[in-house]
Amino acid sequence: MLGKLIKHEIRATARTFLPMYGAILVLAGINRLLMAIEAVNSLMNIFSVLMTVLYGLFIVIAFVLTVTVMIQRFYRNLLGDEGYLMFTLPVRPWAHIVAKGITSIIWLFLTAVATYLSACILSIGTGAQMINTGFFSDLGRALDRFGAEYGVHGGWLMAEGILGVLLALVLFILLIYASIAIGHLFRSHRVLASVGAYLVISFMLQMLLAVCMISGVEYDSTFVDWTAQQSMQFVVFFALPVVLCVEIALSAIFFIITNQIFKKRLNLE
Amino acid sequence: METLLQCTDLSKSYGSKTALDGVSFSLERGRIVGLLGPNGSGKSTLIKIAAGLLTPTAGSLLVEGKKPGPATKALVSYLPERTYLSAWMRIFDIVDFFADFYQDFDKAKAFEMLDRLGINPRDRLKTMSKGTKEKVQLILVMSRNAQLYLLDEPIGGVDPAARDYILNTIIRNYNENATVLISTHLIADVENYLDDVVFINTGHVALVSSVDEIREGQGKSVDALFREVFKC
Amino acid sequence: MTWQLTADRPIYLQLMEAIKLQIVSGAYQAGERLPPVRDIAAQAGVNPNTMQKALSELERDGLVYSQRTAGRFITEDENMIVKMRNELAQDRIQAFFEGMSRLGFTREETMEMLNRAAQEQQQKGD
Repeated sequence: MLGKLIKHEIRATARTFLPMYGAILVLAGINRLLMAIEAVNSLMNIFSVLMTVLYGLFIVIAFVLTVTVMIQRFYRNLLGDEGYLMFTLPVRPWAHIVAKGITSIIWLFLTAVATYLSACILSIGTGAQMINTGFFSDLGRALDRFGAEYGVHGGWLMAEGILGVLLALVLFILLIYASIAIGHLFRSHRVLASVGAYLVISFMLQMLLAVCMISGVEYDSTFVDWTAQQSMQFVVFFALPVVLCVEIALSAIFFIITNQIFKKRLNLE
Repeated sequence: METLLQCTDLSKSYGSKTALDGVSFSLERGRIVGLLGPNGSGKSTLIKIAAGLLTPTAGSLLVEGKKPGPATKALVSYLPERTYLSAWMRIFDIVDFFADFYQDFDKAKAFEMLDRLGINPRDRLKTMSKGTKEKVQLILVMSRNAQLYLLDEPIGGVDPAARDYILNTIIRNYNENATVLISTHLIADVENYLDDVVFINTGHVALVSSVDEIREGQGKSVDALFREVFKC
Repeated sequence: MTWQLTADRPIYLQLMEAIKLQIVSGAYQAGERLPPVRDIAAQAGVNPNTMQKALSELERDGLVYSQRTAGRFITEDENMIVKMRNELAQDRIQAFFEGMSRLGFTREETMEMLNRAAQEQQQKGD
């Protein structure tokens, strides 16, 4: 069932994203061409500048759109009129949440890929190295050097970093979903309530982050005699894992909130 | 299982407003039942609870002995009062969607009914008139071999010809072992199609009876009895 | 097109009459196979169980018979159909005479009016 939900979710949203990706790649192509042609007159100059601006704009729009569509799909498809269809399907509420979450991540990833590809197009023949065949061996050596200097192989830090970013993304998505679900609990001004919930929870997260940083600094100051190696070991094997666990825990909390609201407090008008 | 739907002391309130208050009745298999009541009597609320879209405040509603959930949703075919399909979808996309999620969906039947209405499967929903959209939704709902059909005001706000088509489609296509629950306030138009009726008003069940009992036992049409019971 | 049914009499009786008319007028031929109950019910605009009841009664009267897997059929007994046709005709004639009598016409006046009307109809038809 989950697979089917994801399939339909992608189908429903592809019609928005694919043209956008197409536009980005085409604009990159146009800009690349314009770069190769000497400006003959001021009109062409203006046109070139315009194309560059447009390209940049589209990239920004693409990312904004990804987030917007994510919010809109969740709200409209599950809690609007279409909710009458979705919530009478023989699937559990969690499947809807996960399906939309996974689809959002897929599109975010693809938007990043499209941006990267458009940069590649721009760099064709300019000698700028976008795709470096020696990339991985270079990376491997850098990570080894890091390990030699800090006592902890760089790979650990990189893995934790990537994981951290992914988890932050998941957390971000689930926070939005939870806010929308909380807004649904109200009988009127639901959108307002959702925005309110988002702001309140974000604020609380900021507070939590501030507390962590302060206590972290306190903690750290007691180890002022630590060597660089010991500090790095602390970060990689204690501090960062704690952060990751907190991200996982918060994600779980937001997921549970959303799921419980859908299971027990659904009130489609 | 003979009893398909069982309501016991079912209540639903929204804050201070009570939509259903202590509703109790049961539906047997193989019957066409009319849920009859004026606007705002709680018909839609009752049906939405049975469909699993609302949770009761008190009491219970069981479909084949189970609380509304994925298991019951697989057996229940629900037609809401509103358009619940995406406007951009093509007809064959929607049919695929239903076929994907519902094991009991009969694709061939759906296409046949759509064809008879002259609907091209490549059309997008947004190009259709409201009346056609409603018929499409009805066709999808009736193309399922469900155990319980919940039709919320299927004939309200349609012209008489469309009304005939809708009721005709329901009769021709429902699974005979199943129960059909039709909610409406247009009693005279559906009376002849019903086996049983449930009168509901302001969240209370006023009467549960078979149509035969009313016509032969009380010598009135259901419409006439309804007017009596719900006199303003 | 749903059949015309009134609210003051049991529906299954009205259905029986309507089907009898169809048999008698030849819309349903002797020995013809009837469509499935739900199809006739849908056509008539009634609950299939009610139609079932009507058909069962007609079976009891012998106008319709059912074969286990093959379905329902109109009787092949042409005589029975003719007899029913005559009975129905008699009922109508009786009702007509009673109606005319209530209007105050005597039997002779009624017959005279009937003959004149028949002649006029024939002339128009030519």
